[in-house]
Parts: sequence; structure tokens; C-alpha cells
Amino acid sequence: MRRHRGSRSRRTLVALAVTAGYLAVTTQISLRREAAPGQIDARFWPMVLAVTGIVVAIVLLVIAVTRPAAGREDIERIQPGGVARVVTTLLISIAFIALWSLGSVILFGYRIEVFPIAAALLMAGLMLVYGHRRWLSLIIYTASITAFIYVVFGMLLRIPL
Amino acid sequence: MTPLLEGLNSLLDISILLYMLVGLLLGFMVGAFPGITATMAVALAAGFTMTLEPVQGLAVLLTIYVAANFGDRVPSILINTPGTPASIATTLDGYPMAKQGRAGLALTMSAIVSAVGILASLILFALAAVPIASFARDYFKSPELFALVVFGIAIMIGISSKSMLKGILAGVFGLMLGTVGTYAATADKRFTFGSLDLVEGVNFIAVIIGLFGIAELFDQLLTHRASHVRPISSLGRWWPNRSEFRQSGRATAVGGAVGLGVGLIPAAGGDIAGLIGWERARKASKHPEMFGKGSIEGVAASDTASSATLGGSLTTTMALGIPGDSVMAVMIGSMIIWGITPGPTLFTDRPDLVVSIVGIMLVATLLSLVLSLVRMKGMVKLLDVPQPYLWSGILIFCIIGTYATSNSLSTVITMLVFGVIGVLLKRMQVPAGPVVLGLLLGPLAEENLARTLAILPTRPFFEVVSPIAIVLLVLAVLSIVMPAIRAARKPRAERASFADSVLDTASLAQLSKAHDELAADPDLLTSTVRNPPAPKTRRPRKNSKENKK
Repeated sequence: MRRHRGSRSRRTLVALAVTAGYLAVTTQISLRREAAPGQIDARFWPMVLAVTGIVVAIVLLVIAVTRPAAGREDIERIQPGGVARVVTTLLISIAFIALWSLGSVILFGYRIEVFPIAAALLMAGLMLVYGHRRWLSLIIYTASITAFIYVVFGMLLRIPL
Repeated sequence: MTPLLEGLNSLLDISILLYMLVGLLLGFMVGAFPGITATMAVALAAGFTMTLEPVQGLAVLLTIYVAANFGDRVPSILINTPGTPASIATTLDGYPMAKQGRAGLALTMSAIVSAVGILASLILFALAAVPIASFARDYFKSPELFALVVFGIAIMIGISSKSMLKGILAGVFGLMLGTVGTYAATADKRFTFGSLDLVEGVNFIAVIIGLFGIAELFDQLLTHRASHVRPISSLGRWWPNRSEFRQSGRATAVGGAVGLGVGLIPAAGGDIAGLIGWERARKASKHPEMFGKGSIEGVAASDTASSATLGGSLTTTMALGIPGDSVMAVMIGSMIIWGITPGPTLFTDRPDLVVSIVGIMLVATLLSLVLSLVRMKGMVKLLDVPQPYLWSGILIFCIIGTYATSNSLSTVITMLVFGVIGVLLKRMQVPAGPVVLGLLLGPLAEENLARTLAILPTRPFFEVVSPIAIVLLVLAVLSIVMPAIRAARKPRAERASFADSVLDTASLAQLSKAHDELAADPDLLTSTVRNPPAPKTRRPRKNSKENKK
């Protein structure tokens, strides 16, 4: 219970830090001109929100420190390997974006679009991470989804992939 | 040409039917896959529909909205897992019916009453939308609009969060996001940190796809465990007989009335309506003791109630500009991108749109009903699709959908960042609904607050702030305070789940007793273990015998 309470306190501290950071940046907003009497300037509304956020975060922190945690039945338990799946998914996605940002490369005198290759690698990588091991369906699924996206979105809808 | 003819004329294009068919398939599929919500699907589709004409885009999004409402009942009934939150109440009697070998009957009744609920709610929309919009247009000035926005966010906070403070924090976070970009009144830049991408604010579609799409996906990745539970495949008789129809009539009427009422409350969706409808129908039934044990009345009441919210949600969204539920929040974002601003002036500027919207939803409902009755057996197979296909498919479509909104990879990065933020919020039990509503309505709130404060010194207070504004602000406070007081009066142990917070103690006790009785009955069907732990066994054939214990 104490450990649970500690993690709750840490989370509310994060909320407090975010709202305090927002307040700090709010005070730094440069105004092109002062607001006329009775009118609000660009800092007013963010200031209201920052103060409200800080007050709520402080109350949450006090509750987290002083009261036992309520039941957490509404959220499912994190399973072994779950965090690794999320982190790997994120890393693969970032690698995909980095590869895609190249646009096209010249290889052996040919201009090659990177997107279809990157998308196929993304799909295959994800399927392997998620535990899919049947090679035939892996290749068929990866190729068909990549082709579908490239044809529908790249060629028909003319989205510059 | 009259608005009626204009609205109907815009639907006669063959492309509209094709877009509706796309929406129909997508809606059914997302409804049938537990974990993929209608909000997620509409958010995802919003990225792809941006380049379409408004009516074409609405055809896709509204049809997904309607069809998901039919598809989500299938897993509720067959595997006791709601396809979307709107079908939570369907599990209460739908799954016991399936265990008794009456799954086909539950599926058919569910499809019929869902269609009845949506059609009734469309009548409400057609009758109420224009008068409400006209009233709002005539009487809602800046103070009232500010109060309305506060009311909308407060209701969303009151409904979506077990902890009021976390809900408020989520709403404030959304409002903070809404301040990013250029302040319209003075053209001052706020929180842009020198980035041109942020000058026009945070990309709304990237945020909603991140919070509702990627965050849901990440949460599934975190919590997924290999399950050997398979859907009940012995479906039994399909078509209800006359006495079953008669028996369900009263429950359908009660559920429908509850759904229509709840739908009109901003931010209240089918999940709450379904549970309240089930409870009210139990109290009005001649056989209340059967509820929770596989009562066809229970299925009829919960599904009519949750479906009947659609028209009400649409009414508040289109007539007032305040989202009726989270799907509608996404819809508002899409409409703004198309150059259509939902709100009191929409129906004076585009009266033909009311007709188009009603037409699309009517056709979508009828198509969904037909598909439900014809293809329900095929739908059951969807529940067997392995998760890796779903997860990887969702991720790539989220990426492409977000990219399509701006043709910029920075938007995709924004989406991933909000996906991570979304899953962290989810684990902290902070709801995403108020964040999206705050982001969407924040600029509107600030603009109207600024106008109100500018007028206030020049005129008497009560001349500026009308009784309507005061009533809305009081209701906003009550909608946060009342659930908090109600929750505080319950023992902490009884605040466990969403259903526990909506249903009363008598209903919960009856459900618990019914579950115990069903569990103790050896003659019932059960979800089948078709892939037992021994690795190299052949898959048994699908037949009705396998479901028997």
C-alpha cells in the first residue's frame, strides 16, 4: 500500500511540475501591446488555467500523501513483456519515420522511393515483435498491406508519401 | 431549391453510397473487435476524410458511428467483452443468453432494437435540432456561450472520471493545449517556442488519434495476455417469436426514453444510457427477477437505450456546438477542418445539412440492420483474428491518417507523443475525454470570456449575464459536485468499476446473485478452449458440441 501511495505521489508531482512549468512559461509570453482597460491580454487565460491546474495538483498531492489508494479495478494489470512491447513499438515507429523522412534515394542509378520499403519493414518488424512467427503469412500480410497503402493513399488519393 | 431537396440531392451521388459502404464495413469491424472504440475509428478516419467534400466525409464518419453501434454487441454477447464502451450493459443479459444457447436470439433482438433506438433518436434530431439551434442563436451571446462551454466540459468531467480532481486536471490540461498558438485578439504568439508548426495551434487530429488510437493500442500492448477463451459458437434460434417481441416491447420503450434523454445531455454517451436503461427496465418489468440471468428484456432495454443516444448527441453537437459524446468531439474537429462550424448558426447557414445528416444516418441504420441480420454468423469469425494483425494494422493506419492531415512528419511525431501521454494518463486513471473537449472548446471559451469581460464594465451585471448563463454555470458546478458527493457517500470498496458507479445497490446485488447461479449451472454453454495448452494438438472442428461442457 505504501509503495502504491508513493507512486501516486510521484504522478501528482509530475502533474504539479507540468502545471508549474506552464505557469512559468505563461509569465514569459511577450505581449505586442498592453490590453485596453477591461479587456484581457494573451497571458490572462493561460494564467487562470495554470493557477487552477496548480491548485488541483496540490490537492491531489495532499490526497495521495494522506489517504489510502482506492481500488484500481478499472485499469487492467500490466502483463510481463508489456512495457517491452510498447517501447519496441515506439522505437520501430521512430526508425520508420526517420527512414521515411529520406523520401527517395538514388541506388545503382535508379531513384528508389523509400516509403514502401520502410512500410514493409515496419509491418514485418511489428509482427515479429508481437510474436507472429509464420513466415508465409508474415510476408503475404506485410506485402499486401504495404501495397494497399501505397496504391490507395499514394497513387489514388495522391498523398505525397 | 428548398433545403430539403438540396439535402436529399446531395445524397443521390453514387460516391456517397460507396463512402457509406466503406464506413459500414469499418464500423462493423471496429465494433466487433474489443478494444477498438468508435471514437478511435472515427478519429482515424478523420485523417483520411479531410480531403473529401463535407457530405462525403460525413457519410464515412456517421456511418462508422452508426455501424459500430451494431457491431459492438457481437463480442458483448459471445465473449462477455464489450466491443465498445456503449455495449457494456449488453453483457449483463446478452452473455447469459449466449450461455443458455440463445446467442442468435440475443444478436437478432439486439440488432432490431438498436435500429429502433437510432431511428427514434433521428426523429428527435429532426424535430429538436432546428428549434434548439434557433433558440441558442437568438438568446446565446458571449456570456451564455462561455457558460455553455464550461457546462459541456464540466459534464464530461463529471461523467468520465471516477476522481473529480483528475477529471478537472484533464480538462485544464486540454484547455492549456488549446492556448498553444496565436491569440486571435492581439496576434500574440503563445507556447510556440519558435516553431512554425505550433503557430496555428496543436494539430487536433494528431492529438485525438494519439489519445484515442495510439494510447488505446499501447494500453492493449501493455495489458495483453494470451487468452484461450473463444466465442460461443452454438448460436441457436435466430428469429424472436411473437411473445418474445411482445415481452420486449415495454423494455424497448423504457430503454428508448432513457436513451433519448441521456443523449441530449452533452458528453453523456451510450455506456451510461445502456446501464440506466437496463436498470429502469428491470424496475418496470413484470419479471425483474430474470434480469441478469439471460432476460431478452434486459438485452432489449440496454441496447435501445445506448443506441437512442445517437440522435441526442448529434443534436447537442450540431445545434449547440457542444459534443454529445467523444465521437462527436472528433466529428466537430473534422467539420471545422471542412470549414463547417457546428453550432447555432449551422442550420441557418447550411439548412440542407440537417437533411443530409438525417438521410445518411437513416440509410446507415437500415444498412447496418440488414448486415446484422444477414452476416451475423460471419461476424463471429472476426473475433478470431489474431491480435498482431490488428495492432500492426492500427499503428500504420494511425500514422498514415495523421500524415495525411498535413503531409508533414512532425504531425506524426506529435501523434506519437500524445499516444505516450495518452497511455500515461490512462494508467493514472485520468480520462482523455475532457482533454479533447478542453482542446476543442478552449479557444471558444477564451474568446467569449474576453468579450464578456469587455462588455461587463459598461453595463449592469445582470443585463450582461443572463439567467440562462447563470443556470448553465450552476448546472456546471452541480454536474461536478453531485457525482463527487454521491461517490463520497459510497464505501471506497464499492467504487470499483464503471457499472458499479452507475447501477444502484439492488441491481448490483441481483447481478452478483445471477452470476453465481449461472456459474453453478452445469448445463450451460461456455466459452470454449479451442487451443488448449498442449502445443501440437490439431484444432477441433467448429460445431455445436464443442461448446458443451
